[in-house]
Amino acid sequence: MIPVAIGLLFLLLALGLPVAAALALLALGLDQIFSPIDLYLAIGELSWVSSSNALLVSVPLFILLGEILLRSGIADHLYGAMSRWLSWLPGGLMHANIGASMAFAATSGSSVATAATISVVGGPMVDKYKYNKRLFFGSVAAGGTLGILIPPSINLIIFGWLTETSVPQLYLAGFLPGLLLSVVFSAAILGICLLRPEMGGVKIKSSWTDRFQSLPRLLPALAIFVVVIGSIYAGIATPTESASLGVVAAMILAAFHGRLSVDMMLAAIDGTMRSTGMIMLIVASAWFLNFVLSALGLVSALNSAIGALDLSPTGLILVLIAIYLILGMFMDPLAMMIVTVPITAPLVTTAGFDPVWFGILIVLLCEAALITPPIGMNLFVVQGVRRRGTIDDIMIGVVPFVLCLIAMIGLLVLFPDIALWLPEVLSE
Amino acid sequence: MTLETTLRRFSLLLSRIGGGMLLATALLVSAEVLLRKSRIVVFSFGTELSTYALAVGASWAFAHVVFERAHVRVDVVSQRLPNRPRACFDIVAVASLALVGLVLTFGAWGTFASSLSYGTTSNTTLATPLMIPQGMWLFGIAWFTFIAIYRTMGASLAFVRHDLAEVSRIAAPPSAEDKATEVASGARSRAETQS
Repeated sequence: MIPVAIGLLFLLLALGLPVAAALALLALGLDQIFSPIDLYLAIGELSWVSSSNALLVSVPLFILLGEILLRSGIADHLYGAMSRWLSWLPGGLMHANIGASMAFAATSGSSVATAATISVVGGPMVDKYKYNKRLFFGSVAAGGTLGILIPPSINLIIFGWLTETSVPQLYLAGFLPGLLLSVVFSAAILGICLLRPEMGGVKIKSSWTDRFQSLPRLLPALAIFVVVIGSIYAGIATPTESASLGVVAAMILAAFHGRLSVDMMLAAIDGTMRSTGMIMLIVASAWFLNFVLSALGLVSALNSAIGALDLSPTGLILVLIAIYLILGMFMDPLAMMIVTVPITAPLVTTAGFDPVWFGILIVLLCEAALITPPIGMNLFVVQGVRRRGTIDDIMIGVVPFVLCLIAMIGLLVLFPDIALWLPEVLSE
Repeated sequence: MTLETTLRRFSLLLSRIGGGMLLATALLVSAEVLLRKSRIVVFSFGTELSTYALAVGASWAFAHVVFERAHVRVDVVSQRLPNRPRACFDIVAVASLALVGLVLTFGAWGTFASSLSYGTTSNTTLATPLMIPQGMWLFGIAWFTFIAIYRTMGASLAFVRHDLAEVSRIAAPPSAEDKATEVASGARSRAETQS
């Protein structure tokens, strides 16, 4: 049964069927082949339950939050402040790319929104200060991936829903890896620019007065972060409610910057609904598929099959990492997660790993998926903003950062406490 | 106005109404949280309504997503094929959405019909008659199915006429570059209004 299921899934996906249709047809097919009873009668009830789920409401709201922030002018302020504090380092504004991405990520749950926003603001600096364009745009594409690691995070919400893991715990677990990954990215830029100073552009000087005067510009982002994340841990709001508060805060901020208009909101809603419709159809199909898979006992069959392979727990994790890195080259990370996590998460928890830790590992692998060619959404987004040259520049420029991500994944496997320490300390 | 434009505009309108519902519940839930915190009035039906807004709003967006060809596909294989087989893959892809839509409509009809005949209400203070949100949800799924069938027929007829460009316009995924350019233009338009 396992080879049939996996074979069919890959066949349907390789045929280029929409992911949602591939999942639903796989579920119907497996049901026809293996099940004595017709499970498809349950499809209405299952899709209603999954598509009216209270936790999942936060997904479109976070997409909307990102779409509004993208148009709100918040990024210019973040970038201005970050460049004054960080551009003295060898590598100059490339550190501002990482720093501003990190700060924007703390307000946005989406990596694509982060990359789009930062590349619009940072892009014009390449020629102005004579940076190496490949490394510069590579740092924007890579910095953007922080969007889904640093809370809030759409991917962590979906992971929490798929595995019944606490979203506040997952958020807490994302903080330190997010900060550490930013430092690793910056360290790579620093190292490269120390070896090859010509890649690091013209030095930009800022005075301490400038720096301190720029601090208030960080306030709008901080305000959104406090509203969205603070409200959860202060016990004021659930993760879903905090997403609603975030949308309102972002609208207020956009109004404050004079950017709130009917046209702007319509554009934000259109973008939001395009992603929401796409994701929710996948969610409904995946939920039906999971139901069929568990009714057929496929997950436990897979569990015993893997058990029979006699892999060590670490061996299992390494195999999974390799599979995800390869899948991520070709698949949209969110679709990849929804398709695979219901199968891999039970394997990993049975092997004795913490589901919160696994959630962070999966998000790091999703980040890699965003920047590994041939299909990497952040690469396309950065190239889309740049509008000249070829995408090869960005694919080459991002290579050092892909290596950083792989190193970060290694660190997380070696030292699980990077993710688990904060949730443990704070829940005591 | 051609049939296609009418259907496309109506689908966009549905999607916007769905988005409006989600935005409205976000405002309602925010008000709820603030009032709860200040202990002025305590009411809590925003979360329940937001779950209906999600189910209904998402299903009302499905058809527009078909027009936008944004139901995500893994097209690594089909992209590398010559024009004619690639057009076949594209038609199969949109047809598969129509097929899944039919199954979903059938399932959603069952759920709606049983809520209707038993008069099921939600187990909350609102006691929402579930046939209302489920009926709206069913409508979105049925409309999506209709649009997916309409697009499948359009693409198939074009294929029979050997009009491969038309097949591609209806059913091929926009290239990743196109999608990215759209995201980028959203961010850029904001930068340009500023300068």
